[in-house]
Amino acid sequence: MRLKKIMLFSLVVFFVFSLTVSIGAAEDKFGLILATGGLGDQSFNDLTYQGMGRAQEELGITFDYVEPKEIADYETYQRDLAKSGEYGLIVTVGFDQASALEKIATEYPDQKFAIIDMVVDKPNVASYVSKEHQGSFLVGALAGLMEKQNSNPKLNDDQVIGIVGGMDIPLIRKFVAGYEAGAKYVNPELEVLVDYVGGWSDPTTAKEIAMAMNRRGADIVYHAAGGSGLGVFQAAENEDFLAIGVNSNQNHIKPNYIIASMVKKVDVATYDSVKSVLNDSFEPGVHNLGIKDGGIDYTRENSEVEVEEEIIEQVEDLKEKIKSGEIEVPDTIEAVESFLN
Amino acid sequence: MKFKDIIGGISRSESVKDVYISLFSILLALIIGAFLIFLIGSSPLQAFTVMFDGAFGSVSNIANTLTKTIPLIFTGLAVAVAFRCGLFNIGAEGQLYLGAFFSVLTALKFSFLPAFILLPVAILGGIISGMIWGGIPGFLKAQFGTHEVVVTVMMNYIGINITSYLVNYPFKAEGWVAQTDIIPTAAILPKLIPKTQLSAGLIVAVIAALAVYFLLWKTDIGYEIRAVGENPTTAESGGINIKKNISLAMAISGGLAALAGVTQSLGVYERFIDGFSPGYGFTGIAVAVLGRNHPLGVILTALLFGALETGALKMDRVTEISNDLVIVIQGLVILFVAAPEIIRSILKRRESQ
Repeated sequence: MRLKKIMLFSLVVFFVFSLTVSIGAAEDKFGLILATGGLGDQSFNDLTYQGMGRAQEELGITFDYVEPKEIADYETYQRDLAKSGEYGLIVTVGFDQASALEKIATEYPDQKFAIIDMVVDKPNVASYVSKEHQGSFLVGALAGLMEKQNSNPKLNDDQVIGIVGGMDIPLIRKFVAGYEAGAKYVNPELEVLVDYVGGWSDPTTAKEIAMAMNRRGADIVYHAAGGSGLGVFQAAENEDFLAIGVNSNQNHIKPNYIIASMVKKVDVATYDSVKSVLNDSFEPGVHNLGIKDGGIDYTRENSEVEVEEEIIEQVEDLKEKIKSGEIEVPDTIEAVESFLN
Repeated sequence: MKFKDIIGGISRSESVKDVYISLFSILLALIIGAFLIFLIGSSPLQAFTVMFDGAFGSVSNIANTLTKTIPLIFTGLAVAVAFRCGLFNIGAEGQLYLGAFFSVLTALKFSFLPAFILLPVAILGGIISGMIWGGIPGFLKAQFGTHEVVVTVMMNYIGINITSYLVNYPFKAEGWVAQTDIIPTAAILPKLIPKTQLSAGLIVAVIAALAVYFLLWKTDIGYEIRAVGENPTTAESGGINIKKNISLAMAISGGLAALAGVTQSLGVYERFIDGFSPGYGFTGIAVAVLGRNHPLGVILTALLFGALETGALKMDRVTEISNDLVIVIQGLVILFVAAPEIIRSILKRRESQ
């Protein structure tokens, strides 16, 4: 009866090892519900996880995180975590959790929630969004200065740059406004081409748009088009011009063609939300983080494109000016004109 | 080993031994899973206790388990019906996307219909689109001898991308997300338990399983389908129209697969969302294999997989173990079932002792 022996043995093994592990109930416990991409996406999921990790180290909290496999899991997880009552705050990541959260936040009015990169208007939800226009201003200024200098071999003589948006919606026009304002602020001669893909996962169209822009002289193209943006990078590689990444550090995708990335530091938003609960200063409503709060920045890390030190210095200088409030970056395209005059 | 051999090996008999092989495979997979948990330094007993609690520990947990079971019953049945006719339907994923989209579209476009008739019409719209999508590879196989595996795999891409296009452009709701508008309340499958996602889709699933059983074993059509699956040459010499039955079996299979998408969309999301399925169509193949292509086996296996996945949600939260472990366990189960010789030889040794 070999089989029985094996089974018995495994049972014994279970028991022995179950004794060595105990589930500790922590006082300051937090929950993190990631977006379906899961850990390892080198984007929002990894960043929010890092934010929690930092809170664990610096603030002494503990946290549980979960990786939903499908959209239907959001509701299940949110309800499961809320119902357990164990968590001081439940942080949810990504815009597609919003419709589930609206339901669950109403079901559990005493549970505190935070949502990253989306707004859910409930009295127990803190919504963390970012001032993308500020970061876009900096990369726009970087592009404008490089055009002015015109020393990079990938740049042509035309004073033209471009931006490819995912959709023509107010949120994306914020990126456009900041980018254009930044570029023209340092280089008034510049022409900025703007076009929209019409979708977030259509790299083919984005590539066509970027190549058309390049034919019209644009040699630095920024994107705010989610997954479609990968097409912009492909176009840059094919036609040998430069590009700028968005949201997370995308420089590694095409290090020889991407100058920099505008980054939303959702790790900071995550950390801040945890801290607010610990300090008893949790505030529902919209938290709009910008450069001053460390919620928005740009990065050149991993980029192989050479940029003169003096250009970086000037951009850093602008960053300080935005921080101090000396420069107020416009967040609508209509406001760009009056900003520049 | 060829596809035909695998199919033949699976569908030939329903002896007690077959059931043993399934059960033994599950047990073996769980033991290996336990060993993996042990290797990463966690407690297998704790993990399995948490999983069991997560799957069955409360009414809402049971509801969650059943919610995850519903789509797997449909895709499992879909693959099983095709298997019974000697066909390998890898296209359930595409069929369920089509079904989901067109049931939602029907619900949105026919919202003027009286409330009591809108839901059945929407469900029917989904089934028909799935039957067409599944029927095409069946028809191509019957008429031109194209391999249904290749055609269904290709049609997955076409189907998924068509629905993705439709929901990204012509039928996109306002806002950020690639999804349609919410369907009218009359078209929503009612919830069986409030504050859960469990909908009347469960009832539809049980009815579908009963219908498949009745069709395959109690009607002439079912007899013909099975006869073609068992031995096409004998069936043909017995006067059975092989071409008709191949097309028919694939169409029925497609309709069943579509219901997985229909019940998710009308019961859980209340709209169509781009890319909503985590691969129900492919898991359905595993469900059918483990369930021995029998409706009862499919229900039980879908329940097992649903419980594993729901339990994993809790395990994911409470323990250090990733819920990917469940995918490993599911994979192992299939490996052992698909390679029955391993199990058979172990059983044989046991008998000889």
